[in-house]
Amino acid sequence: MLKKSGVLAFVLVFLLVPFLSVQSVNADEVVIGSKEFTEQLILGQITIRILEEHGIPVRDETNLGGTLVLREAQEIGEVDLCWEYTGTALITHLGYAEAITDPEECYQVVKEEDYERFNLVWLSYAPMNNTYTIMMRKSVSEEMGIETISDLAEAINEGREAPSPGSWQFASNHEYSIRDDGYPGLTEHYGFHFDGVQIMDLGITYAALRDGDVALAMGFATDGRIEAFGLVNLEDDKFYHPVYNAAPVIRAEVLEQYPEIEEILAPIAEKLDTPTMSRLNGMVDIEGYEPDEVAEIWLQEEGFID
Amino acid sequence: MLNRILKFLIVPILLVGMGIGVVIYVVENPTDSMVARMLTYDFIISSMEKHLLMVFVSMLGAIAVGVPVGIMLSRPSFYYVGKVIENVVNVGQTVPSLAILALFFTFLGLGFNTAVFALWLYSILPILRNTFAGIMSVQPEVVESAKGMGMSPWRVLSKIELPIAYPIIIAGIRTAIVINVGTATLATFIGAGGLGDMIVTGISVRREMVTFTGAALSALLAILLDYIIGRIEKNLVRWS
Repeated sequence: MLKKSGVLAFVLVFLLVPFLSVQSVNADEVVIGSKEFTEQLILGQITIRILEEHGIPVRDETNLGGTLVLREAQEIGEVDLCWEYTGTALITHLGYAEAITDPEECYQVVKEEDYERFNLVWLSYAPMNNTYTIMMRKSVSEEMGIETISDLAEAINEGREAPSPGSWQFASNHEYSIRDDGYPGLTEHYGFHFDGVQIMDLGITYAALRDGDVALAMGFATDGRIEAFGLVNLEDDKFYHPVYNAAPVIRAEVLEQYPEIEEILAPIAEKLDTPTMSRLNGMVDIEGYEPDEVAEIWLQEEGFID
Repeated sequence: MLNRILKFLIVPILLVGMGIGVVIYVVENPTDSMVARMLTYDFIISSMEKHLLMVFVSMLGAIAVGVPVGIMLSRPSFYYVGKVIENVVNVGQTVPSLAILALFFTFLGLGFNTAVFALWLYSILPILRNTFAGIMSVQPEVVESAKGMGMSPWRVLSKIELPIAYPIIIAGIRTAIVINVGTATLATFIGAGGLGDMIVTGISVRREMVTFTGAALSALLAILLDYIIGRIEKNLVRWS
């Protein structure tokens, strides 16, 4: 009998553990989330640091698995605040098939619909545009005189000899290879074809291009490795790629509880333009700083904290 | 005889039929334009081809190395070497497969060859281990009496040890091939293509149908290959 009740108690404790752990979380904390790449980690740390400065309790849940995981976490309320890109929300979360190329229009559509459907509030967006970019090795670009995507289209259509690996191989991540505002539309918009597309993880497209495994690669315009690896962004002279402005997205209930967050983050977003963001990304990817150190340094430089 | 072949074929035909059904359904009923662009017959077939090629090349290589090395290690003079290698192999198996791919990517670069190499390395382990364990499981008395009958070591191996260990060796190959088909979906991260292209792309743009197609085909492929090898062991090829 004693044995039986012992087992029962044991089982009960196990059943209760999840509830106990939930209760130990401070309900007033603002949970800050981010995706898994450098820029997101920096944005997350900037947010954490500045909210702490204003006396708002925060919990660090940055570096989640990716766009999708972060979004699900926010939809179910496990994450309160994170930075999302207007273009990503439009296509991936709200399911639009067509991209919107005007930054303000894109932001307004996302802001309105995300609030109505998911009760998520988009705070004012940063001028930084982490859009897709088509990259080439700088040496090749200079040698062949290719500076814009139009130049590239012309070179390919004229049948000029491709640089290493000897054909116009293009490295793309999974998302870009299928998105309407990605590779399929790009070749249509500029009227050319690559010899082949190699789908791979985003993190290795830069190195694959540097090492000559591909002739061209896609990447993100604000990535610090473009400069460091001797790569160059081809100018999108026919304005194909839509803008991806980053903005803080917060759950409406949390914003009601801490309405001052809007005022705190607005001037920060305003200062984050594309050159600033690439510099901060480079500090982590190349110089080896930690994201929280970069956040601290930048906030001090700009005078947001002492 | 005909009856036996029919019985053997019924499950593979069913599995292949399911695969074809899934492909036709998703290509003909895409949920939106993005799904339609990715899920074409050409793309699915070429992904499947790349996937199969990766699996076959790496599995053939793994069998060609795993079985002979396993046999070699089971020889009495290699006993302690065998024990050491068996433990190394066991530890090696605990390294996550994605880590193995990522590791070799830094040495070997991008694409198909690296993926095949990593898959090969990862598949050797269960085959080698099972070959070794299978032969070691043969009762020493049986081997002793075979020797007593005047059999040469080579004949003891081919007539006594291998036939007894055969089902265990095949079980190792089956384990390896199921792991291999699944692990090959990770090759997409290093630009080697295969069914992983669909799985990861679908996840990244949140189009479940694309992910489902890749995952379903990969699962069906694993079941099919496992079944075929199992049947070959039971019905078609007997150790004579």
